[in-house]
Amino acid sequence: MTLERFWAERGCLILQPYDVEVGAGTNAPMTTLRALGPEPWNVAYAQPSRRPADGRYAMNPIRMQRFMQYQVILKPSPDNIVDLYLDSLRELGIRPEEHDIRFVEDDWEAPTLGAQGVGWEVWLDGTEITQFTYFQQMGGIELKSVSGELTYGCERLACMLQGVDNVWDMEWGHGITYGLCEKDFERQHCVYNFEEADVQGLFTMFDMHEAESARMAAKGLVYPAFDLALKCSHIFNLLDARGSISVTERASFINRVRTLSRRCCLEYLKQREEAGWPLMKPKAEG
Amino acid sequence: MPNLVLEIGSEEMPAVALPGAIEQLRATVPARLQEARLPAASIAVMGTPRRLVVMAHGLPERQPDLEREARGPAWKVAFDADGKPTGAAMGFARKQGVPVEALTKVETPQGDYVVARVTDVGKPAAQALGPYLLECIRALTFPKVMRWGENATRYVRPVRWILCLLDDQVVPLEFAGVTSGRVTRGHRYLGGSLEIEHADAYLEAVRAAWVMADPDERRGAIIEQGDRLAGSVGGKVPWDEDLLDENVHLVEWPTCLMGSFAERFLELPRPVLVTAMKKHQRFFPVEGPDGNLLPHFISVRNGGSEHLDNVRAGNEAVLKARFEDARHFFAHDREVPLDRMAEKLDRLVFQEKLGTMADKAKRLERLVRPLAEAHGLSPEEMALAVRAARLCKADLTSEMVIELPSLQGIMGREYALMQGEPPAVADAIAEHYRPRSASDSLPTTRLGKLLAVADRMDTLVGYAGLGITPTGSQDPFGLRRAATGIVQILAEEDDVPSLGAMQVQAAEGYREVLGLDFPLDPLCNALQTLFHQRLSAYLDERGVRYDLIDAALYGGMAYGTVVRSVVMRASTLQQIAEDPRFVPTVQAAARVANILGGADPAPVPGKEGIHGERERAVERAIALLDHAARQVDTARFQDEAEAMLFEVASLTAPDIGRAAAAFDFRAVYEALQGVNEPVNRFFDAVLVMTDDLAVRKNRLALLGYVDALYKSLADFRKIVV
Repeated sequence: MTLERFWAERGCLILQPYDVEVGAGTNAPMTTLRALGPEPWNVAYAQPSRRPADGRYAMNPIRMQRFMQYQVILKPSPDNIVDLYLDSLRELGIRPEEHDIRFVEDDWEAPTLGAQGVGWEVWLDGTEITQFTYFQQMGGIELKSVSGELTYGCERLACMLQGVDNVWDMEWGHGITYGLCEKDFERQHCVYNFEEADVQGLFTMFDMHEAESARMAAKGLVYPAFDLALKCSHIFNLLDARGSISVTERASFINRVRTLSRRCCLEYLKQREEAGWPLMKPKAEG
Repeated sequence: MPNLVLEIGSEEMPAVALPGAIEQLRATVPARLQEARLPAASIAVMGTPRRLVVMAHGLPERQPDLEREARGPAWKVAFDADGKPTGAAMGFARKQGVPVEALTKVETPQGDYVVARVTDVGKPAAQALGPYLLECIRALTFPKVMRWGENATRYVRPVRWILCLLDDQVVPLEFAGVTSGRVTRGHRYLGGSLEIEHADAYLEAVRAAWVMADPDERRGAIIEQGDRLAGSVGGKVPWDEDLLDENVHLVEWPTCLMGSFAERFLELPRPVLVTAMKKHQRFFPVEGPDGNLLPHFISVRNGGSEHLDNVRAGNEAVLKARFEDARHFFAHDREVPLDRMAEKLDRLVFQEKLGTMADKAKRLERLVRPLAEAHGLSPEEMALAVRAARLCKADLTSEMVIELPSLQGIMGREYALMQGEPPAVADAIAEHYRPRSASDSLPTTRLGKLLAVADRMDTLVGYAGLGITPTGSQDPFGLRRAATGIVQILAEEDDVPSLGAMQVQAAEGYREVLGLDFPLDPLCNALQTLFHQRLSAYLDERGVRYDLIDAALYGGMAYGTVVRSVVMRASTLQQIAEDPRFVPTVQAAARVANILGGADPAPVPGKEGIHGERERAVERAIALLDHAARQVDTARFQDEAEAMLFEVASLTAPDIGRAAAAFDFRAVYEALQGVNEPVNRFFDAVLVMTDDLAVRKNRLALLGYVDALYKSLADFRKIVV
């Protein structure tokens, strides 16, 4: 994809999507954990993101329970980050002077990660195409080296580039539309998310993963512990979509997931510091 | 006289942050320039999303020299017994740059000190300005600040350039790792970097690069273009000030365009269309001559009129998607009766320990009854009030309000009318959220006011019951705003119970619905403090003198705090403060109160009863005064002045009680005029603190009675004369 080449040429490592269900590219460890500490980190990757409650049985032109984000992390955020971003749009064929591109204040927060950032929604002729964020906090930890995060909404961008107003009509390639390939996937997941998922089983699984995550974190196994925290987060989202979590319980579930993520963040920082911040050395690792 | 331009260039600032920042610079820049001994003849502050701009005209070329005295060590430390300078004197002189012989002596209460007369030689303005301007930048506060890169400085958004010129010279300063220079940037897409030769060329240079630095000019341009576009389809724009402000602060160069949408969307209620346009897209609606919406909208683009068709097409497509969504929600909601929506409130938490919104609705149903009674509502109106209370929160479970929360109440009204509820009920549902902010309009219908007060009082009592009241600038639950809302509404209502009585009723609701037993005394005391603050602020905004506000608040407390009564007291005091008889009245009243001493009178929470009808209020007022009168034993009078004072007080008391209960405080004041003279004569004739304890006690009781009369109007001790 064009974005991949563009960001690779600007010094980003190109990563592949993370293989645990996440609600956003931000939740993948290559963002959440790497945003911590003083080490520089410049990466780009596509990330399928699952938001069970956003499903519309493939009936809505733009809302889906699974969508694709293109995620770019620039740490520390360079001085010309906005110009870089606009250049990436030009590379995609969107000339800013021929449209109305605006930066509308939108401060971002991910309570399950204890994360906060400041930034904008970027509007292209009135449609949000990117979330642009300067991370300020992760795992409840104040960040000294601030990451700039660009999250492109791939489906929306593709629709706009192709001039279609419905994601299902978008051509995926070789004359095949997105709808033709993905509608069943979307519809069946909606039925599962909203109607069929076994609530009791999910509650049990949440407890299991929670305990396991805590156990792994205590052993210093940050990455498995973090994966398990992500699983908890996804199960929580499923239960939420099923309407099985009352508002009071909600806060307590969010808090439980945040506790897990925070523990991973603290442990990660400790390990990196003990290792002497390996990425601070001139030779960057992969 | 040189001119100065300072421009702080950043990434796009939030629209809400801009007006405040401009306002702050308007205040700080003149003050700092004054401090720098470089006052400007005039100052203009402007800004766009990407820049804050200060233009100061007619600065002095250089700072004038400043003569000042620097105080050094004590004289006896600086000079020995022979008058020879010591090391301390020489060190001080060297530091100040004067010869030791030039040191002189100054006498102070702390003893004699050494003083040096120093001249600070003024610097050329361009050299001197930097630190003072930096101070202005550093002092800026924003709703939210951030850090970026590896920078430790916090600012609203990353700072990318600073231009600072005094005529053609760069004024050096550094902020957030950025050094000032003469380079600015034009519009992000239409203008590049520009080098500015001279401060006077700045405005025109950025204008040529598609930047209108002045927000007022951008506002004018939007209105002019929008009116013209709307006029082309025979319509007009109902300009919404907040939305206009936001658009002004979102663009550097506004160009309006008009887009259209399908007529079928006009079937949706107007607030839905307007909110979807405003909240999601920052578009302005267009209405026809009859005031109904036309299928058009005005959008403000950041830039010129090139390629406007792209923008229009994009805007129309995104609005269509929004309207489709809204139509879907509306169609869905129409199928659900409000009562059913209200049932679903049991899944919506009001506050973790204070139950769900369904519980809140139950409490409101209960609380509106005594309030309605106090207002003298008929049984039919009472039934409507209860119905409105039951349904007022129902729309929170509707899909439309879940999607567009700002439509709460408004959708409730729409749905209520659609299912045939009486208009009074529908209006009360919509109105009970008002005032949403200090500047919002108040409810206008009786039921709307009643429900608005009940809702807020329920919230305040619940939180106070948990020990939560606003502190400092922190008010996460909007409690201060809730109290202000009650004050605003009740300030104009005649027949209402005291705040304390309402609190007791609201607390009763928590006991009945949730089994929560709040201890009443701490609860009422905490809320009294809060309401006194809000009442003070309310009266202060209306220009009432500070001491008169206090006097009004602490007067009449025996009747309980009735908002309207405090407001009327304060405005009466404000009027009579100029009266020649006012000062003697204050003095007489203060004489009485001072000898009685004691703290501010405490109200008796919950003892007042909630029924606020006039007759009962009069009865109560007179009963209170009678009680005070009965403490006096006329048989113990020894002097004619005592008997005289008691007689006058007894004759005046019924008039005062009646007038106070009717909030006719001017009449109270007039009645008090007869009391001043006997009070003064009493003090001239008798010694209150006599050794005969029984007589002393009786004289104090007499003064207590008189004090109650004065306090019917005000606590005169608070007044500064």
